[in-house]
Amino acid sequence: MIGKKETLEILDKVVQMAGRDAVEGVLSSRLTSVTRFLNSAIGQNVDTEETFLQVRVALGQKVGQARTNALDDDGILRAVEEAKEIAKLSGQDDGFPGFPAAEPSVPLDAFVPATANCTPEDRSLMAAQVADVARSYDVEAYGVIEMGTRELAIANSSGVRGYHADTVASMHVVAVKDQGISSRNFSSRDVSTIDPEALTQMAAERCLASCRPILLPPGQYDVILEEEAVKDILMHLGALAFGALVLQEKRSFIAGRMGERVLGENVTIWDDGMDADGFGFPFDMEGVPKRRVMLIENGIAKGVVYDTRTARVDGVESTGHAIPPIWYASGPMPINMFMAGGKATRKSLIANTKRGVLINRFHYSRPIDPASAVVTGITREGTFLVEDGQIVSGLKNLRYIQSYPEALRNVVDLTRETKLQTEYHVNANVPVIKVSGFNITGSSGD
Amino acid sequence: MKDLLNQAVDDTLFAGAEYADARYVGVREAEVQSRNLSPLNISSDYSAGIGIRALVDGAWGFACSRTLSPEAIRQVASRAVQIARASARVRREKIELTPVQPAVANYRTKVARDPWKVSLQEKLDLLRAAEESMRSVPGVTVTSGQMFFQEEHKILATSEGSYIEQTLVRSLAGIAATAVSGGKAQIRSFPAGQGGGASAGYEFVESLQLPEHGEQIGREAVALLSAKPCPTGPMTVVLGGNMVALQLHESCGHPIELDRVLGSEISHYGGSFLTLDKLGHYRYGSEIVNIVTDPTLLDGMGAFAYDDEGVPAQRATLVENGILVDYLTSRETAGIIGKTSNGSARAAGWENMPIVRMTNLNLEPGEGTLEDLIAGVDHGIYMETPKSWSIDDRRINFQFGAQIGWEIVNGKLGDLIQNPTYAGISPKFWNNCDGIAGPEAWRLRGLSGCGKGQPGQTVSVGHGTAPARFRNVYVGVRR
Repeated sequence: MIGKKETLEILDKVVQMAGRDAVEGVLSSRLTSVTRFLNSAIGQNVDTEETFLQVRVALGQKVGQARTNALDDDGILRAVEEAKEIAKLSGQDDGFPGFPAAEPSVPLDAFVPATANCTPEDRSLMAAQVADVARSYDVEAYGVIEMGTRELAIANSSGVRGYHADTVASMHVVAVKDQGISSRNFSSRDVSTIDPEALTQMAAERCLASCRPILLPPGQYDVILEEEAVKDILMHLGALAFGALVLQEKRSFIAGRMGERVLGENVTIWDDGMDADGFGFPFDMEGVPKRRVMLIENGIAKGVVYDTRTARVDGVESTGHAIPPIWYASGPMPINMFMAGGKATRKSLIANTKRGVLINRFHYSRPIDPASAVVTGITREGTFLVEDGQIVSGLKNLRYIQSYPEALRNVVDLTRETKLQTEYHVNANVPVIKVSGFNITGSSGD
Repeated sequence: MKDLLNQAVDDTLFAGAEYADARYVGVREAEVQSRNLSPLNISSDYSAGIGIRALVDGAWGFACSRTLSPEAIRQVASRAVQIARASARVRREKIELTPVQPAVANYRTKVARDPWKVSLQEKLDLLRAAEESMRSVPGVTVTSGQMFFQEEHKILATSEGSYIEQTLVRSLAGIAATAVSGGKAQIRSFPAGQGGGASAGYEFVESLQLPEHGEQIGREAVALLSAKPCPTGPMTVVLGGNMVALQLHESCGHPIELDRVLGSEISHYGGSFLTLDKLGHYRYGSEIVNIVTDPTLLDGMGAFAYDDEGVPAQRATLVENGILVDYLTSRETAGIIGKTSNGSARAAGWENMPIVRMTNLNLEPGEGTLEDLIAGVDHGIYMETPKSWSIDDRRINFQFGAQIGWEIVNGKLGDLIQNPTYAGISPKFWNNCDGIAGPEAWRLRGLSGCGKGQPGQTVSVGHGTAPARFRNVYVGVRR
């Protein structure tokens, strides 16, 4: 790790080296240890690092940006001068709102030393526990253990100066036997909360229940979506509907419908980077403190998230949802979403299903009509037929074409318990939900 | 740098490795974007470091550092060995690397116009001209253009005596026009869904003639808003070269990676239906389907002289007359099928370990023209430019969408079709391929964002394709 003192010193140098020009420095550093296992043995085991200093210089409405991982004085100076040079040569960016002014942000206690200090031998021990449990079930285990420390710091010439460090520990176990496959995952800031044996046991038991998958004909089914599948729905709606840019460009299904009921009455979704049950940072990539934003309340469209660029267009304040400038074309996005639970349990959702499908997760889901958030994807790692309140068989993976908003208009019930899911820097804490009339269009098969 | 890399290899061996390699990679990138005539994300990026791979007791360890000092490298070498030892505690068979002749070499991409010597103003002027061309069409509401340049300087030193220096230059550019009306949006882009690329300099960007294509894609985006919806049902589909590239990438390229076949990606990107028992006899496609890997095509985005294990670039046939005959392999995986590596191990940057990747993966040309393919269709659809793609974790069941389509009626193109999609099962689809256009229609296309692995690694790949025809394909969205 670079550490708070050195990180902020580097950013102070960025501001000093820019002289009287408006400047912003972002320093991001992630150290990640990744242990992958296949056939119940370690296959790949690496320490990796992603560190960059990103400098933006604004000369009026002309903005230049440079990134580097050379953090000595020469490297910093080169990045500042390059950003300045690019700014000089750039055209006018009329939408650039300037760098935001400093606002107080509340620190987030998110660093767990046990995770940061997890050794290769510790991870090897966890992999061995997975292998032992897999053997006891006569399944093969595949998966990954990840331990990471993250540092993010931002300073600008308007007085913003913030630093945050946290840890992430996660494990994903896939159990395979013949045609049966199932998985379980767990993510936390604290490695000590991961139970490799319990995760493997759950994956193995579900795998054995799916060993002889049958084909399901296309049609509309009641589906019970487990947390990873629900996260997929929120992740897509976050990108396709809940950001200010897609709303301003009328590319969101809620464009022109703010204040109207757009999803089911039992659906409430918000974004909160400060909630300890998420993986958020206390500020965004412009240094603006994270604000809690209600997106959907009891099915009614309540708001979208802003960065400073889109906030200026609508004459409002940024909600602290700027993403890295390299993705600016996508606009601000909610990346720490929460979905309110109901009163059910996973068991009761299954017990109350006459005929339906239990879906563990979705794979390779892609919008085919972004403006209406119609998505196609395929199920993965555990799809089951439920009849008369019981799991009766595994199913071949199912392709679906589904309007995600429509799915969230047809939510029959939700579990009280929610679980944190993380993927591609998007985090969602969600319940298991039951949806009626989900559109299955085909099955996988050789 | 040579001293530091040799030290890295020596330190790793001294710490207990039976094999070691050290890779220095320095990458500089430049990106220029424009959106609605405003420059956006004009940026540069620089990253450098060393990654060390250690094989201890038949198991891998990998560690890396952005600090290029002897002391830092000593620590990284020690860490790589520590990780490898930990791996060896939970391994099955020992890893055995297939042999390779040690090489000392230096290679550099041929560049006519160095992208770093072309002024930003010239680049912005080109994008602005292309945007203005798109915006000249009434109804176009959002326009964008982008350019991306990368120079990757890498040096590989191995404990077997290889010392290979390569400088690979890649250029990529593209434009897109979006028309929005009545809550619906339609996009058209050129030259592909996410730009087109090559191992070349700025001359590649100039060759695309972006402004000359702006008005046409603008017109098409607007026309798509009122075009016919895609029909539903089985019919003949003719795919343009860009769509064939997508189909090849997703339904052949990934499942034919041998590490994936062996299970390395099961928990992330997924497995493969091209299991080992199929090698040598499985009918993957019809007799006209021939698929090769060929990083020696030097203007392809997946071109190099040596892969990241020091294996020389080579052309290898993977599917011959429709039969699966080989996989993309690395030194670790090739021995499992009794072969030597065909040079497909690549790492993204210094901070990642090489894994099996596509290079230039090509569908060999057939004969005739696109018009000939269309002329052989009574009723069907011609589709162009990827818009959406989804495929299952074993790469069998897919659904792809194109930006634009045209009805084919009695051998001729008819009305415009919006949101055309098709779905299928990979081997059935390729077995229904009854026409591939000839060499005149064959192009090497570049993609920059192929992802794989944990930690995620993104590399550039090339796909040589020509338009192709497929019978009995399910078209349209099933509801």
